[in-house]
Amino acid sequence: MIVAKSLNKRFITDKGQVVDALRDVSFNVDAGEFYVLLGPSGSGKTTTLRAVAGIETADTGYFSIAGQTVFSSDEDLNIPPEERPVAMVFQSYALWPHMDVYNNIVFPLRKGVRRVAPEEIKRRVDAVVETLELTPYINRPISQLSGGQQQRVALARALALEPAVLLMDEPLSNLDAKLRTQLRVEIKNLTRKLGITTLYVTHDQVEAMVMGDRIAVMQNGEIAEEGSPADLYKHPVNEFVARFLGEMNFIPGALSKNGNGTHVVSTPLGNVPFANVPDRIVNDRVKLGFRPEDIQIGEQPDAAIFTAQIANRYYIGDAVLCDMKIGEHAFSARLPNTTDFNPGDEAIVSAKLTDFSIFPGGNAGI
Amino acid sequence: MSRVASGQSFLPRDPILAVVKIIVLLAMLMLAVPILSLVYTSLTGEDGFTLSNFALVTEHPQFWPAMGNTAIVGFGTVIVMIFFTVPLAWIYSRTDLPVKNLMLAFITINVAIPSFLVAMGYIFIFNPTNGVFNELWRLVVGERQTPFNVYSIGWIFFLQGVALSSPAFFMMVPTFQGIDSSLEEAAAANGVNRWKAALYIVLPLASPAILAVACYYFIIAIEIFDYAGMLGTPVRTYVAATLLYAFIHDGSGLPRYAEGASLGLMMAVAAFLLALAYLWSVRKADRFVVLTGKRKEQTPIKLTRSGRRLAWGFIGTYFLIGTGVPLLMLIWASGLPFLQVPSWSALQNWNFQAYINVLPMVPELLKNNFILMLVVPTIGVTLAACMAWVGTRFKTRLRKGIDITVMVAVAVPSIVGALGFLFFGLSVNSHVAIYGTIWLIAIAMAARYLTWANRTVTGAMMQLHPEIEEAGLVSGVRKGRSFVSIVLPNVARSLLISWFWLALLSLRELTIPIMLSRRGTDVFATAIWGLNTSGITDEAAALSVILACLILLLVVVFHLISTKWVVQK
Ligand SMILES: Nc1ncnc2c1ncn2[C@@H]1O[C@H](COP(=O)(O)OP(=O)(O)OP(=O)(O)O)[C@@H](O)[C@H]1O
Ligand SMILES: [Mg+2]
Repeated sequence: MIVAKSLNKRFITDKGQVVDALRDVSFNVDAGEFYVLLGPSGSGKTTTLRAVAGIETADTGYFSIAGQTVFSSDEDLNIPPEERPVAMVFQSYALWPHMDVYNNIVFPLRKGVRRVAPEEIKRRVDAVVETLELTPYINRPISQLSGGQQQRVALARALALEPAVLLMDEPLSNLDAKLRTQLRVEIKNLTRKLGITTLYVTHDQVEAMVMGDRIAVMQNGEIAEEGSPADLYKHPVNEFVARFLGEMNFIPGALSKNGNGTHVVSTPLGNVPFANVPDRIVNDRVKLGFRPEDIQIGEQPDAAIFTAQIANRYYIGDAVLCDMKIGEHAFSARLPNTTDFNPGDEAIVSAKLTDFSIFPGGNAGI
Repeated sequence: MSRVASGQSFLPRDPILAVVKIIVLLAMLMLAVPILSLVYTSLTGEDGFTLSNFALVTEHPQFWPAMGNTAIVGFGTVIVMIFFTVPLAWIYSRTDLPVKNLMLAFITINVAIPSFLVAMGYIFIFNPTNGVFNELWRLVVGERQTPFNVYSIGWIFFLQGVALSSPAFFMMVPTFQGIDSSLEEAAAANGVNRWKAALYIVLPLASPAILAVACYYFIIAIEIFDYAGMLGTPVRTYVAATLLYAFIHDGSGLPRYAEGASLGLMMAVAAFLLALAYLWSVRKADRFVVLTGKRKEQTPIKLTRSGRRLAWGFIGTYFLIGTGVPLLMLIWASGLPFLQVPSWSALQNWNFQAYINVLPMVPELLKNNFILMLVVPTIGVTLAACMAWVGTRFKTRLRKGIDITVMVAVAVPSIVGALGFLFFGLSVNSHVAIYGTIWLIAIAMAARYLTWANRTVTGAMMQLHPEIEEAGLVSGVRKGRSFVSIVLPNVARSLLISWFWLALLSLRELTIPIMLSRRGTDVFATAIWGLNTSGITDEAAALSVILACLILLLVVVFHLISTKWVVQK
């Protein structure tokens, strides 16, 4: 549905600094897919989204939306935003302050390039107003709505256009935590029900994983890694991605080849076999990564089993967090809240061999 | 990068945007015309290109004295202005003075009353032949020679300084409001009393801003025509602006256009350089100022009883000097066939004869002034709105063009701009008979005020989140349509305020009409000037009183509308 190829965008700030906001960004979004751009502040998410919408023009690259080429630097083609089959929900909502809810929804349908007949307007407005439960506020001025209600109006305005692609830029970031949790499920369900292709920007990794069918993690204007939430979380290839999606422990190791063509990494935790090793691993110094919740108390089959010292223990309600050490290597574990370790104890713990991810090693080990 | 239309046709895809762009080009043309005509006129002689006009100007016996006088007037004005405006702004923004609205009303009236009326009021009081005060002095002291002569440089800059304190007040107040009052409180907590804190903490913090305001008004002070025209010209004491006027309207000989143009160009260049220096210093000062920028809830200084009396005494005196006394004087003079010292017997002679005398002139003056009051703000605000939008929202060359044109045009003094339009009118007159009509005056005024309106509207547009327009674009609304239906309604208030302000300015303007009015296109200002120059003081005063009433009426209407608007929002 969206094809983006080799997009580059450079900003020159007022002070003359050069910012490469997009570097060779490419991605595909399938029809009906919920595709999330995730990344820290300044990583280029908004710029990507605005380039799709046409509000920002990439320096080089290619975009097509729903089979129609909307931007191509080679062909010197740039369809203006109003003619692209998209709708966008802004972080600030960008509702028109001088209009009421109804007119905010109706204005583009009446006065825009994509205007439709009056009966069709009525059908669409009725539909979105009902879906988003806006009936009680329909004639209210925008300034008299709460944040969550404004959010819904912004979404209604976008959906009423029945766009091929819905673009959303951190639409939930101005809401309180509870509303955010509630709305992210609602939005996800709504887009699934309508079967609408969505490109969604957020810097919140939980939001990305809850909502996304696929996630692209951006860093410094590049897509660092792309994949399904589970793949990215469980087996990230990129260390930045690994850390960005949640806490990860790293242990240094030495890579060696077995006779039968498989590999093994020897670490302070024991030996971890790998059937094959990605090309990025160029020498024998590597790091293994695993998540705190991968640690289990006691032994288990097909696992690395080792004795760790308990350095600290924190009770956080639904779990117990432990700082552990093995030799001089520290890591943390997330254990059941019944765990009653004390600092100074030694414990036998284990982690499944398949839970480890392999990364190129640094000079100092970690 | 080219844009490919879905359906090519002869109509532009975005007709409104096309119209806006044409309007912007027109606006830029309007700003450029006076400068270009000046350049052309000053650089051409009988046989083509020449610099001799500049030489003629600098060799003129009045040139160097006028330059000196201009500098004295500039500095003097700024010093007087700071003396009044800093205490006023401080009192307004940092004390708990009661009825601050009255103070605001006084200052607004001070801004609104035309400068030439104030100058005339003072002529009636302090002119050496029959000024009321001087007559009193002779009565009481018994000497022929009196200490006050209104026809002098000192009075020019004193009155200019008093007048400019009012607009400067509005520029200064945000600075004082921006300084965090906890700085003073911290000082108070450490045993420094609040008056000392004001002197040693607030004032130094505000001083870069005060300096900036002073620089800004220096540039304005050296181009004002009214006071020097009223108080300097009769005794052949010239400043740059009045010398320029003398070149064109020399009572004896033919107008010396080329020399006028050269002097005008020199003034414009000087003002431009000063403006650049000003911008540069403001940018520099910005880095030092420890202002929060935001307007904070301040805990005002509690004034004691005597503090209040002192403050109101200061404000009252300021108002009396700036408007009260000269206006009363105009009313007094308007009822007497010749100027008399106020007395019971004189009061019994006070009558409306002068008003009756000027009545036949009034319809035409009203007509001309009304045309200006409707046309000037309408053109000015329309052009300014389009220009401000393109200037804030476009990244194109058009925007660069606007920035540069506005920057140059802002620096062109009123009288110089008017002269430019005079040349323009003369040169196109054989094709379009615009010279000597009210329309040329209207265009010149609109061009002059355009930069002001542009700044106000630009400020309002910058406050608008660009995303509300982008939301229009991505939902299929064309740029032009979103300008009309999204941007304009959200800056309507500033458009309305600009419109009224321009209407007011056009009513109180003397400089531009005096350069461009001919028989039949007189406005109040030029008629009053004419009567005063001819020595018909009672009729000049009567017309002045009528004009002052009109202006006050407009201010009241403006106030009512704008407060009602605020309440509605
Ligand atoms: N108009 C602009 N001029 C200059 N630099 C810009 C402009 N817009 C964006 N940038 C820069 O481009 C980079 C990417 O910005 P972008 O807004 O895409 O980041 P983001 O991932 O959306 O971040 P955030 O989570 O903070 O919204 C940043 O370094 C930003 O400062
Ligand atoms: Mg962003």
